[in-house]
Amino acid sequence: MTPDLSVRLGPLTLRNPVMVASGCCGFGQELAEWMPLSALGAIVVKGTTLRPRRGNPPPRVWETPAGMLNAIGLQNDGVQDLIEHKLPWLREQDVPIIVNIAGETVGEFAELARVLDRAPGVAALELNVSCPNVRAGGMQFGVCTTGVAEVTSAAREATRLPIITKLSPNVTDIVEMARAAVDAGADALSLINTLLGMAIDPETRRPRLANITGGLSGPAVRPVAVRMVWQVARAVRVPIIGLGGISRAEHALEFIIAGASAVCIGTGLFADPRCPIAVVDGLRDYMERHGIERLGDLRGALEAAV
Amino acid sequence: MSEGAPRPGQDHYVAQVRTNIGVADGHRLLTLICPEVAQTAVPGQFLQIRVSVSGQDPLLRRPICVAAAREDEVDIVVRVAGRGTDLLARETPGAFVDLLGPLGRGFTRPGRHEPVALVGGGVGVAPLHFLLTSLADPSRVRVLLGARTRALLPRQPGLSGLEGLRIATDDGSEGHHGTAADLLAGVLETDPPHRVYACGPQPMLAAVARLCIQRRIVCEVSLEERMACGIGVCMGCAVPMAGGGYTRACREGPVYDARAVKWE
Repeated sequence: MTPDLSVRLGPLTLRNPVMVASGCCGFGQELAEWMPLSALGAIVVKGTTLRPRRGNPPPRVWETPAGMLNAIGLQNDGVQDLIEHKLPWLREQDVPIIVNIAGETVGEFAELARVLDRAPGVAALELNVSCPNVRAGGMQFGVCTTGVAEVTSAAREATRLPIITKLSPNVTDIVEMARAAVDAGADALSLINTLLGMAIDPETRRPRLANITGGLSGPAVRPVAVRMVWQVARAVRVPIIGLGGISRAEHALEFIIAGASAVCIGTGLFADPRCPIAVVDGLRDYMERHGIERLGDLRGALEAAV
Repeated sequence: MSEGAPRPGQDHYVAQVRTNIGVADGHRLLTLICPEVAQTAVPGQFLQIRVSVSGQDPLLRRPICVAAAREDEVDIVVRVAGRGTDLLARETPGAFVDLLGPLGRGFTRPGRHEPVALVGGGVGVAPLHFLLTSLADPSRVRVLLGARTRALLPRQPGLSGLEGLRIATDDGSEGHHGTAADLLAGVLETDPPHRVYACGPQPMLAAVARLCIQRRIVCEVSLEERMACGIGVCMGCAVPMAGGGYTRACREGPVYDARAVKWE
């Protein structure tokens, strides 16, 4: 028996469920120095905005127990640069390309979706309504159902590409946000983005990050992410991409058993840029060990007396 | 450099610790057996070293400059600054460390007989030491070292007996009472070198850069910025540029032309 690792993500079929997360793999070129991108289920490229963004001043990162805070601030060269200079190379890498887009307004999300609809090689769009490190846009949309719905439906009307809404965990009820996205036309959901956090140097009384607050990621957030995936999977019918602290197959399995169709590796790449390969291999081993033919059969297979 | 192609020697290695010696208070010099890095690393480049067995906590690797390279081994100097570097500093001979490298852009090699000055502060001496050992004619080199106090001056083999060595300490406990940048200011008055290479704390680098830019002397600085990935994917190690915007210390740096950097 050769285990079948392919998964369906709405209209997309991925060769395996292991993707790399937006903001953690740039636009693929540096990661390709460490592993062939064709080994991935998909790549989600860095948050792309209509116009270039310089990003936040340093320090932008701070390590925390089993995790890290970041406040990069969506540094990128804008959507035109992506189309002209980054997509041509990425298209040659034999990997589905998902573009994470971040607008400051609902109109900018629609404009980004419209521009990328015509760009060859884009497999899907991920809507960044959950970045905690920018003043305008970002998480401001992701923390209320109307914001999530407006952005999702604006993008939905502007493109035929599959739409993935990336949800923020910084909400009282993640299920409400998920339902708002699905009702507005999302083909899939990514969860979770980073948890808003903060660290202080007591000696200087200064914040560790120039931005003062930042997004917490890494192994420390995994239990929160698994819980949210589990809650949302029971409430909506669209596929879920689970992420938060994944760097090994056993972590990915938690998300899949909780109800995720696919997973993203983000911060895990910083510690080991080759860990996606180990996760794919580990999933295959697990399936062989447990006699699972199709990975989809494991999705939502939580054994719980509830 | 072609897109997606690894840089020379850049790979994932598991290197055995050969020796671990103290070189100053809170500073350990570790010699790692890693022939591939020893043969490909350029002075100024760094390694990303895993400090926990699990790779989960501490999560991130620690970026550490190569301090010397010989046949099959490389030296690194670890300054104990927190939990991660403390774990690394305790690695004993025979232990294995997991590393990525060599990473980043190194120093531009000077001309064969070009007079140069190396200005180092604290642990910043490490990449300059590697540069020094790679030079054809070390006798032409002025080495200006600064530290807060005598006990923090790195007693790195190969540095102590050097003819062109000058020392400065902030508290005057050894050498000039002041900074390495003060020493450089003196050298620039009497016998200016063609090139200056500097590595150390930010205020020292800013002072060195200012002196060199004023006198139109080529100056390269190795910058230290908080780093997460070290391989160019996270955009964490942002260095403000004189022309606006940021570049990545791990990729466009850590060595920069002093004129390219925006100094505070």
